[in-house]
Amino acid sequence: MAERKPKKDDRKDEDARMLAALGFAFILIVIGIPLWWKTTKVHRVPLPYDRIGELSDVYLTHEVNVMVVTGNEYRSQKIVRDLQEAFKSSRIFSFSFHGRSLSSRERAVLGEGRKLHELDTHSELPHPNERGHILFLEVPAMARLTEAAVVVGSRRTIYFASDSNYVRLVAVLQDWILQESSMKLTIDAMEAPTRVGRDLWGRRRIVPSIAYDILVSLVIPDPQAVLIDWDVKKAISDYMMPFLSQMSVLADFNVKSQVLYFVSLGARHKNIDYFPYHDEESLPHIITPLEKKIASHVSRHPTLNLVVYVAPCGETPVHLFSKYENLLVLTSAFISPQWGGVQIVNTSEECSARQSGSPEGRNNSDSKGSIYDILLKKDSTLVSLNSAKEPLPQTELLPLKRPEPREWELDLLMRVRTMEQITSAKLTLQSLSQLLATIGNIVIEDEVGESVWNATEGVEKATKLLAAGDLFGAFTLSQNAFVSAERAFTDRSLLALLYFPDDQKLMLDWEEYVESID
Amino acid sequence: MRPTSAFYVVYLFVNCLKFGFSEFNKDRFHEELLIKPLLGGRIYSYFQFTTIWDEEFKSESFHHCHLFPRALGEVVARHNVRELHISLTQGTWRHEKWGYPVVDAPPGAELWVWFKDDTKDVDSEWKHLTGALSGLLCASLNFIGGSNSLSPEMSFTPSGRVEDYGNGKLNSSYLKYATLPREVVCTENLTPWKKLLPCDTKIGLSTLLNAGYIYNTNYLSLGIHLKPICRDEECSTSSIELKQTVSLVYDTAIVGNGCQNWSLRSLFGRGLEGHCPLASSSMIYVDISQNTSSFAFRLDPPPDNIITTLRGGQIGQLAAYDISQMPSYPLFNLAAHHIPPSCVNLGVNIPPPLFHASRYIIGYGQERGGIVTRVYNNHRQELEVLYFENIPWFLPVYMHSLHITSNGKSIEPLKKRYKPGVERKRPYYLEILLKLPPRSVTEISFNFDYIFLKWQEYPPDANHGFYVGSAVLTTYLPYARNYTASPMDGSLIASSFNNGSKHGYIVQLRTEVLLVSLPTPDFSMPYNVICLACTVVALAFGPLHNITTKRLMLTNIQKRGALDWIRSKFWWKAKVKSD
Repeated sequence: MAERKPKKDDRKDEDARMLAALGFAFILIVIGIPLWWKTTKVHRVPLPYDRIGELSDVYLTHEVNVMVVTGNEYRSQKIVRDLQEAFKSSRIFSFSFHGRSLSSRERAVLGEGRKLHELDTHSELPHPNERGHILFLEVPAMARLTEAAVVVGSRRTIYFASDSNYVRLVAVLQDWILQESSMKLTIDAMEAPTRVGRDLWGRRRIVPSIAYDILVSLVIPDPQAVLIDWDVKKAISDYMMPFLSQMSVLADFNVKSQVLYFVSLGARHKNIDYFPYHDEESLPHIITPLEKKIASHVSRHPTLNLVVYVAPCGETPVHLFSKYENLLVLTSAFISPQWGGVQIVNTSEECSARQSGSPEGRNNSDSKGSIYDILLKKDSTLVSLNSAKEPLPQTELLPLKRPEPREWELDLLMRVRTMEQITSAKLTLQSLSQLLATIGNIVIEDEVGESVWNATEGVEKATKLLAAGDLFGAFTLSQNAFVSAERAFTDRSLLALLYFPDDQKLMLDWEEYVESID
Repeated sequence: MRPTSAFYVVYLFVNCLKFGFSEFNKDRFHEELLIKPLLGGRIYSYFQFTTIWDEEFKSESFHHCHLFPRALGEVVARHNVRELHISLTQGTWRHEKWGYPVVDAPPGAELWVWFKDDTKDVDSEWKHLTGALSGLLCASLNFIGGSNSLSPEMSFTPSGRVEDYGNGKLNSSYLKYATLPREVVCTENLTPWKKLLPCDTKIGLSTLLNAGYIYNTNYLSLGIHLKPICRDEECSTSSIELKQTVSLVYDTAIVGNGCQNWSLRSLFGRGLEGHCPLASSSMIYVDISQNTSSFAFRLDPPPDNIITTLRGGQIGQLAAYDISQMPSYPLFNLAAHHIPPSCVNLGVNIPPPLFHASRYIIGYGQERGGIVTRVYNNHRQELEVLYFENIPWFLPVYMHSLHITSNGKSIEPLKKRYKPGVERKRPYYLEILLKLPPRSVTEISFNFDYIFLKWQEYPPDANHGFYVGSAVLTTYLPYARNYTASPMDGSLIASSFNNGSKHGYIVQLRTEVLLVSLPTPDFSMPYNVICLACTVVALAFGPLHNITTKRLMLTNIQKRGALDWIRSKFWWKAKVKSD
């Protein structure tokens, strides 16, 4: 008896201890762990990692609709077949070629036309209105209109003579209208910047953005000697805006201007036989001091600078001298791609007028025409419109009547922008998702998540639309995707990413950039 | 060469240019310098660079700038600003000794902005504006946010044209006011400030602003004041006015070898090389009202012109120099020689101003304290004074403890606005309209608590203390004694001469800033907390663990014989051997 009782007690005791241990464990598991989980959980919005990963397997393709219209059906089909054969190996473009013969009305219109310009604007010819479409139009007896065998119009039509070889058409389509090699290079350079370099056009093209500022700065280092009148506001609103409003399909352009006094070129000019000049080596030393006063950093968007420098009397005339090309640049202007351009205006006449006792060295505005000349040429180069085009034999561009961009040039720019934006958004998303997946405890806020989802969807849809040939739709979507991706990447809450310099995408002006995105 | 679209634009451009005529006549720039001797051998020099631009105050107007600095215009246009006042100041202006400056400014940085009444989100515009200005002026203005900004109802009415505000009624929710009393002003602020001037510091009066000299002063204040003004008498159209100001108070004991004589060269380190050719007027004025027989000085070169001013019952005399008429070589140097040469710092005998104030902290310990502001009315009549207090959120004030006494008698405020602060969200706002009895000293006092902050909120060198911004007192003076400010309807210093006003002369003065030492924790606290927390966990966990895993039970203690004892010894030895 005496031995059994403790046993019973033991068991009771053991049960109680078991219960206590279970209770302890229960509380720990049921209350403690969830509580700990809840209080230490990092807020991370789920992101479409798989879909972002899959983006890299998708190749950008673009369907181009090409119509061939010639005198007879058979010839059209022949050209279509030839073109199809020539572009079979194209990787980016897929084509949908159509061929038909001229209708009697069209034939009459073409026969009546005295000038190609008339044809280019004639409403009864089947000029394509859809963005990205191309029309090859045979003009019977084109020799009476022009010497060239192939003429590229200002719209989306290419005129060719009946006797021209299809090889010329292929060359025009490949090298001018579509520029596949340049596009391919652009995408490759974005994906592997260390291995592939861009071509000239790619290097000159300003970074993609939804808006740009064009800043015209008149720099007058010596206002006592030279005073210039210029009515930049009127000039811009009357003559620059029509040009830019056509471009506004691609981005918004804000034109701004300012006058800077007492700012001189930082670099000292060199002399050959008292002939003052600047060469390529000194050009960076010109831009840097200018940049200090230009205040382009206050702009929200990428800024294109157009600087007009009025050389002071003591220095004139200043010329630019190319060491490599060994000839004087007559315009005394230079371009720094993506930054802008500088135009030097020599005022020797005004200076001598002043010295000879003219009461006020005030410049006559007539002589300043050249300023605008250069500015606008630069402008259209800087806004990336003038792609570098190799001259082709027997092929020419129809000269423009009005200061407007050619429609097919706009299409070309839109096409390359779409591809750039899709690629950029894709790369941004990939690097962001990789970073976020690697850093397990970084907070992903709702806004970042939303931007990432938007961007992913945008990229996917834009890629589909581009493949289906809807250029404008693809462009709009890709622009949104690009902006969303950048916003996600530069969100304030992800600043911790800065501490991982290997994966650093951009570090410059972070604060400024963050503010501008807001 | 292949013609491009650009060429066509060019031809048209050339044509256009023949018709276009200058936009350059729409703006004017003026540079002025006022030098005024003060009490105790101090010299007050005030630079004012005014740009007046006949353009409506719209965002688009700032796209094309001539004399107006585009960098500032861009920021103002982007953030829908209507009126902007920035001051960056080192030192405190002593009103009781020096009278009133042209532009009053508190120590540190002060920023107040009226936004346009179509602004959707004033708070976010304000946040972004301060960020942009901070970058523009290299100042810490980006630390201004909701937690240190206020919208005072009465003290800061727009100083420019007000018609454009919807139905003419001012809504103070479009006003934002903030100060950063700890801000240190130095050359990094001066350089970007100078870049905003059309002549930069290449030529003209601005060449006198040498960082090496102007930081030797007792008081230095940089200001930027932007507002819309009436273009003409009818005020049907508006213009944009930008004033960039520098106020300096030199002590001749430091810069003038201990003597009272001064010259441009001794004050600024160099003479003046010509005027800014872009300026419509370039003037230097020297106040010689106090140049009496007891305190006489001779100006060299003698002034071209002596202007007698009559303003608010005060007759004054100013020596005027038109710099635009001076040859640029040799450098122009303006000097004042005292007769007889005196090396005792007496300075001019400026009569004490009618109205001034000072402020201090009372109380002891680190629990409760109080702020007392003494407002002096030396006038023989009553003065209505607006008192604005901006107390940071970390000093919770008690409204019930507000006492206003004047010469021992308690007085009731005419109007009172109070909005309690919220910790880390909003400062305490107090605005009182008072009537000061004639010849009186009025004390405004209230109590506050010292509170603990979160450990991350303490700045480096936490024991230095925390600054409390200036209080602002506004009144209309019947006389213009010691008064130098520009009138409401004029932009230049010149327009203040002979400009009498029926309504009196508005004076807005800022008191000293206060330095409060908040209870500062021992910063090893986190370590202590960790130790304590670990101890607590160990104490709580240990017994629980013991209870659940160990059992107390009885064991039989057997008597051991000698053999056992030996065996146990042996065992131990065997154990050691085996090891």
